[in-house]
Amino acid sequence: MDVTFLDIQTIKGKMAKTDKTTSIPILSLRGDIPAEVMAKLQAAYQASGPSSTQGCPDPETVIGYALEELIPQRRNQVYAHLSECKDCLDLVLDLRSAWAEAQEGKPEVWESAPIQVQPQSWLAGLVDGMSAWFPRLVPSPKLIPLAVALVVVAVVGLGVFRHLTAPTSGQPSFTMTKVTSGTAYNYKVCALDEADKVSPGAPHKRITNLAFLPLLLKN
Amino acid sequence: MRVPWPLVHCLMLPENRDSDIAIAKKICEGLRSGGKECLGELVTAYNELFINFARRRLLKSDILEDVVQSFWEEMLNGRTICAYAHGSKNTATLQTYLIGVLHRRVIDANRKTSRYEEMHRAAENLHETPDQAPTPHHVLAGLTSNNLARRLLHQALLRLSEESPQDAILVRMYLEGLDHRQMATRVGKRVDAVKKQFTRKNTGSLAKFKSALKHLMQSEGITYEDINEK
Repeated sequence: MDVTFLDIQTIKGKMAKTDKTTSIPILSLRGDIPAEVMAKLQAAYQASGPSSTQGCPDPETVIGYALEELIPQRRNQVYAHLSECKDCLDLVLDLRSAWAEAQEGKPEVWESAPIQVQPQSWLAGLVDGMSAWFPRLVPSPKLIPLAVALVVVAVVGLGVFRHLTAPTSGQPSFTMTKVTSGTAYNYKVCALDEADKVSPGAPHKRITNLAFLPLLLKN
Repeated sequence: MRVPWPLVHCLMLPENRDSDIAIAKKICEGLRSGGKECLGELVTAYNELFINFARRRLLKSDILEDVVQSFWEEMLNGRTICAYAHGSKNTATLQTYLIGVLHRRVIDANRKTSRYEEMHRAAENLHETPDQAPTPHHVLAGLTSNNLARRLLHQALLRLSEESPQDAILVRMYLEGLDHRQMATRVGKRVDAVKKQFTRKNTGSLAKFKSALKHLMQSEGITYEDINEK
């Protein structure tokens, strides 16, 4: 099927010959577009089936149009074609949308085959469940993972703190023992039972990874 | 060397083309000498765009990874990129060229999907009556006001897609007759988020589209009555 380009005046001329008894009164373009006009536009869009690829420019040209790489002369030709051809229009819309999404770096709006949205993890399930049960207590579901993470960090931190400060036979489980001066650090961290065995000047084997501690202690 | 497709349209803007060809030559030489890692820069630059594009164009989303993966595998053999680098008639940018190659792959994949589904549908619908052919009256109507409406819609969608491509996608779905829930399913967002984005009073997708439409109608001297003609 050849793609024909009818200009607006030609179309209006053809319309003038048709029966106008069913037409509505002339409307101003001010204000919102009337619902019946939108319905008509919607119907017209749905009535236009897939167009034949005969007469379409090659895909690279349409892609070039979408990415604004065409010279003005060619651009106008493609624009005229896109006004008629749904398939090529879809290609342009999809490509521009894909490009915009890639620029944003995250999926903002994308079109795909229908998908089933399901909780992807126990956390997503928890969020959904809490949102359903306590809609007023949970104003923003996005904050729930953050809140859960904060609670976990607090509990773990408290446990570590209590472990470090818990007395063992009346002594702290870890102590700072001065080993020798002239080593890399003035202090090394070791367990109390081993600290007793450390003799001044002897190399210490259990150097922990708490190398930042001497710097803190200096201050 | 086989050229994937002829790039004979000499009407592209020349900006960036020379540098694109230089990049393509470098990658081509690297691939020929066995250095597959030289494709990494290209993958980093374009993979996300290609995935987004293929996801929108494929009839079945479950073959998305296969299609994009096979596209990159084809790139690894070097012929496609070398064809661009050394093609004398080539005037497209590298981006356009690569999307064109991917587009063909998507079309091939969709053809296979359609063929497979048609075979199954044909077996199931042997006794169904065919659709009625359009009457001359319908054809005439299609030549007049429907043509005008379609043309306006297409032009308004194009204009909207220049400023806000994601809104244009939502409006297209609206024109196809999808409701907010169906739109949300397609775009993978929550229904209320889509509804808000679509119907917001002045900055929503529909408001922007109507604005573009009215602007077009005013510039073309078209009234609502013209569209409502039967």
